[in-house]
Amino acid sequence: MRKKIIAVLLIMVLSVSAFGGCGKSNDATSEPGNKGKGKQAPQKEAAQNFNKTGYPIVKEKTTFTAMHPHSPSKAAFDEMIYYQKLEKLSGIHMDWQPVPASDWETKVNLTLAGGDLPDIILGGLTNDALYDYGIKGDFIVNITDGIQKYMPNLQHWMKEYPDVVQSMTQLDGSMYFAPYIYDTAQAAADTVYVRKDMMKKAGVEKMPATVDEFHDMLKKFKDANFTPDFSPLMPTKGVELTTAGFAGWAYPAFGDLVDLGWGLDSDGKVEYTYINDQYKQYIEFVSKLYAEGLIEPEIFTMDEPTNIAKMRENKSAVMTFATQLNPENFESGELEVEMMPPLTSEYTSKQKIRSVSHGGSGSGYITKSCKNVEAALRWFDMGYAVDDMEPGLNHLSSWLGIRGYNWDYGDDKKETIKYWNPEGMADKVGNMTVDEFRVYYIAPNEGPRAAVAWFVPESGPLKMKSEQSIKNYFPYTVDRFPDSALKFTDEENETIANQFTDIDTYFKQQVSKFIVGDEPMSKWDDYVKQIKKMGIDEVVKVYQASYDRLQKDSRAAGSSK
Amino acid sequence: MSVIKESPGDRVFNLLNLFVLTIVLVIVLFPLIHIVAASVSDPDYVSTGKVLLFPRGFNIEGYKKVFQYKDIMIGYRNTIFYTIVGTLVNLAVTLPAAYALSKKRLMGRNGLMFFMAFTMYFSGGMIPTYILIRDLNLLNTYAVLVVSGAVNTTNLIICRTFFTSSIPSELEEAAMIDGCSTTRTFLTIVLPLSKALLGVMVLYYGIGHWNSYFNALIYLTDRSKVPLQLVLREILIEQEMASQMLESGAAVSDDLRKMQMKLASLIKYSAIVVSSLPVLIVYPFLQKYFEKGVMLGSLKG
Amino acid sequence: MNISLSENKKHGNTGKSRKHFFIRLSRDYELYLFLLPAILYYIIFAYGPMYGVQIAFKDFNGSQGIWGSSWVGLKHFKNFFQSYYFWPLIRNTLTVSIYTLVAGFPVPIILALMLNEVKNEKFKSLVQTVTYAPHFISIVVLVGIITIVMSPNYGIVNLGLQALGFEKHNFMTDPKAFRHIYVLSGIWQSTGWNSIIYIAALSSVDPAIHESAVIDGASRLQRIWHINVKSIVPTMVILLILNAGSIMNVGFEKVFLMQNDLNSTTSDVISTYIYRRGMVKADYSFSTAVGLFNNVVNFILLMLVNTVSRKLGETSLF
Repeated sequence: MRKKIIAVLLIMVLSVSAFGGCGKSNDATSEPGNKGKGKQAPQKEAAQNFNKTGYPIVKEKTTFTAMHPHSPSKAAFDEMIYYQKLEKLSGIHMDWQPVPASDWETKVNLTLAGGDLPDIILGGLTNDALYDYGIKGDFIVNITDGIQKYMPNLQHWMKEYPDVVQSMTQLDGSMYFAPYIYDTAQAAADTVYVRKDMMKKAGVEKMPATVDEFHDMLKKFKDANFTPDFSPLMPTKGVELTTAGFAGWAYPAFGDLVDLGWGLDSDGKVEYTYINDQYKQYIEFVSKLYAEGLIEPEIFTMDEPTNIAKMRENKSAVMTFATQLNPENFESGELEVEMMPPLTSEYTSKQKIRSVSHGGSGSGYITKSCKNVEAALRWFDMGYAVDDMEPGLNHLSSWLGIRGYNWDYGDDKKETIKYWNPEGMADKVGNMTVDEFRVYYIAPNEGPRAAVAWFVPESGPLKMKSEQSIKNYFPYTVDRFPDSALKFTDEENETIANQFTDIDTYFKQQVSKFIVGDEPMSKWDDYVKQIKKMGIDEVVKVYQASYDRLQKDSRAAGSSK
Repeated sequence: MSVIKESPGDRVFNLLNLFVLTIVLVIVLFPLIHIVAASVSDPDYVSTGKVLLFPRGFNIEGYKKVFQYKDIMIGYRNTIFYTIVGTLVNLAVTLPAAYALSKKRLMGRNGLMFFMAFTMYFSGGMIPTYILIRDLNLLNTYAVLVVSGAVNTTNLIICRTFFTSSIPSELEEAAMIDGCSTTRTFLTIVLPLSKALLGVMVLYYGIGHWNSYFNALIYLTDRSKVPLQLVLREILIEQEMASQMLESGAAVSDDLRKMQMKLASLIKYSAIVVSSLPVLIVYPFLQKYFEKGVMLGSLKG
Repeated sequence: MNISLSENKKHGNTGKSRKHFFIRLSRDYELYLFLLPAILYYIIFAYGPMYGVQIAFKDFNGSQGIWGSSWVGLKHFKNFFQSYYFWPLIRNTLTVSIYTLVAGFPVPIILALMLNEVKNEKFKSLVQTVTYAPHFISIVVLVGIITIVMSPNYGIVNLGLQALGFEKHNFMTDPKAFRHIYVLSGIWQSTGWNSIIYIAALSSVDPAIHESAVIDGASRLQRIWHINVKSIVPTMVILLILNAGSIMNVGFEKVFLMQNDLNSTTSDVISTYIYRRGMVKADYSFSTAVGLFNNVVNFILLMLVNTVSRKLGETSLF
């Protein structure tokens, strides 16, 4: 009897759950499977509350809900000067829904899965989320036509940066987001700096030009023994020795290729570079450095704050983020660092480094719950304004602020820039630096924007970086493999998730073992064999297919102009 | 006080006991002192291991920043609300249920226990739960954090165990014979004898509320409703974020990100002190419920 | 010892079903009322969403919703089982879990027993408060402290080793050291917190029993064993059963923070694997499937330990 009761109870409960779920989930699955290309959202009545050109953008004040990642170093967007100006100009009020930036992806995916859509998403969506909700579903609005009709400013930048257009174009040929575009002197990645004051002290007279000279320089640093536990070469973390950062700078010196991870081989075919000979030679070099005590021994476990602290204690000579050093760290009181130009070697005589992309990642999406898509598009377009919308407010504003209000050019040729805290803000500034306050209160550096300007800041750590990049980085760049622009179908993504996750884990494990010497370089061929056994060739096929599609699409796009 | 006389064996035992406990105290205490010292030290010294038990490069910037950040005060206020109201709800729902389950005469007792324990292992997951909360109109309300965690099955089981093993049945029977209803027995006899359990439950549920952030992350959008831990987590996790950023070439933000990391390092330790201090202060008051002989006299009375 | 007032039968009502059912229902109606809020809670919040488990057998697609997504049967499970790292993941997860259980389970009990013997209330209170404080340290800070303590160049552990004449060793990159560091730091952090329930249980032991035991000539240790320990056995058994039932749950955050490329052969557990796969393709279905697999294993273990305990005559969950 008792067992019967239990059984009946369980059945009752489970059926309640099944029916309960049934009824409620209908909300989430609005239309059953009408998927195909994303549809254009019908906008009949909203079109009346809209000005196609000029400001304000809407005839009657409108409110949109906007979800965005929130960072503690920024004030609430309601208070931010940049957004206040946009609101006054456009007549559109944003009802901000901040999400902790640390958990942005979890929250935004959940929101989409639950069907609760804000009008605007002002943050990034992963490619497969976009595929799911934009291409397969219709939660994200297809704005390809919208861009043509209502976003002249964005189109201006799209003409200048075809690689951005590549990134924006999805598998169905349409576009779903307003991109983040950047092209600045501060954008160099894979940067390696050396302290000139230490070079002098160690008796190194000129900047090393070859791998062997670089090696000798490091040895001289070690012999100089400036402080106990001195590390001649100290990137900020272990991954900078293997896949980016220092690796990005040094790998091209060991052969003809520049791309790490995914790249094109000498025949123009896609390859996984972590098993090629050039990479082997590079890793061999790094393991030699490590064995000779020239690399920070704790590089794989040290956390970033400790690393930066050690940098500031003058315990390293070659580093990847010298922007964290202060003039006070130098005896002369001046920032004596130089960004090192790419090296050459017996394997190659060409100095090269992979270029930086110009962005193209999503920074603004419109969902189907937005009742006035045209207005939203024009609001996005303000972030790209080529001409001033009002004095000082243009495409640079989300990044720099309002010209004349908190920044201006330092010279007529517009080669330098100076920043200051606007008047009357002293109590809000407290003890924040000018850069911190700008990000906190004036210019969020988020959302649809075109950070396109080639200048050197008048002061601050980025001044050094910009100057050095112009001299020693940008002259040597080679177009990088467009890995961030690649789009994959569902099946392709599955292959990648199934095979590649494990391959990537194995790669990271083995390569770090090679570097620290836990595994001798003689085992390299076994490592390559294992990766092949794990199915890398299938993954390469997938990448090749995706790359071929990308080439075809951009050729098609190019020919239509 | 105790009437038991101490034998020499006893004295040795006591000394040994105290000795070992003191070692335990020290082992646990040192890292805690380190944290307090680190919270008033220059973060660069802390990262390079120069701060052990005493502060170096004394500064209270960490605390200043924590209190300047106005979301922290809002978080504090909200967490206090969620903890107090939430714990009351927890007790009101859990204790009677556990009591009922502890009575052998209850029909279906094991089945009901199974019914509840089953949910510890099988659940629908984040998405259907989110949809449910949304359909119940609980999203972004003050109630959602209180209601969605009304019962913790482990705590329920602990309560049931306590009721079964620590409340002598003679007492209850005496009360029933005297004509007390079950409810009256529960409220006037069982509960007063369960002070230790109440203390533990207030602590377990209370701290559960105090430390929680995940449900708040998922179900709340108003910054005015967020609990303290969510705010702190934002600050602390920022520095751990996206080393993937490096690889995708979006290094433009990397320099700025590292500068922002300074904020996180500064706050790391002071945040812990600020968020755990109230709890540590309250605890000794709860401890008196765990005193020995809480039941003394009840049998005779 | 709970003598039911009305029935003398050993197993309550068998036979005479219908009438007995309603008699017991009406007799105990108050108890059922006590249970009502909790039952409602479980039905609404726990069983309500349970239909979501089917995601594990589908290719969940957000825009199609749970009901609209297509069935794929055991595909996700197959993918998981066929992963190159499947067995290492299981091995790593279980090693850490079982190690934690074996090493960590007795410690809070011993601590509680020892504290119970202390007469000085102030000292007792101090030790209690201090030992439970580590529970509040966020994982991020805990791992930060561990890293510094274990550092080859700065950490006290290595400084101590060198003073004793040993070579310094990088523990954080050593796969062999990972489990020890993980488990021991976990014990440090949670012992005080876990001992609270035992301290509370011990407080209900009647001192009169001890007094009579002394009179009977029992030694200190004998008294502790036969009286104190015996009184917390039910609590111990229940907690042991519950812990056995979470053997597959090794939390994500701490492992993730302690993990690096050099120790990942032993530090990669199921939860970190799911995270990495989610970076390539956010796949609710896959993670739900693996979660379901975990839960099934956990549940089986729970039932096993529970049954063993019941057969041994001890308390059991059900």
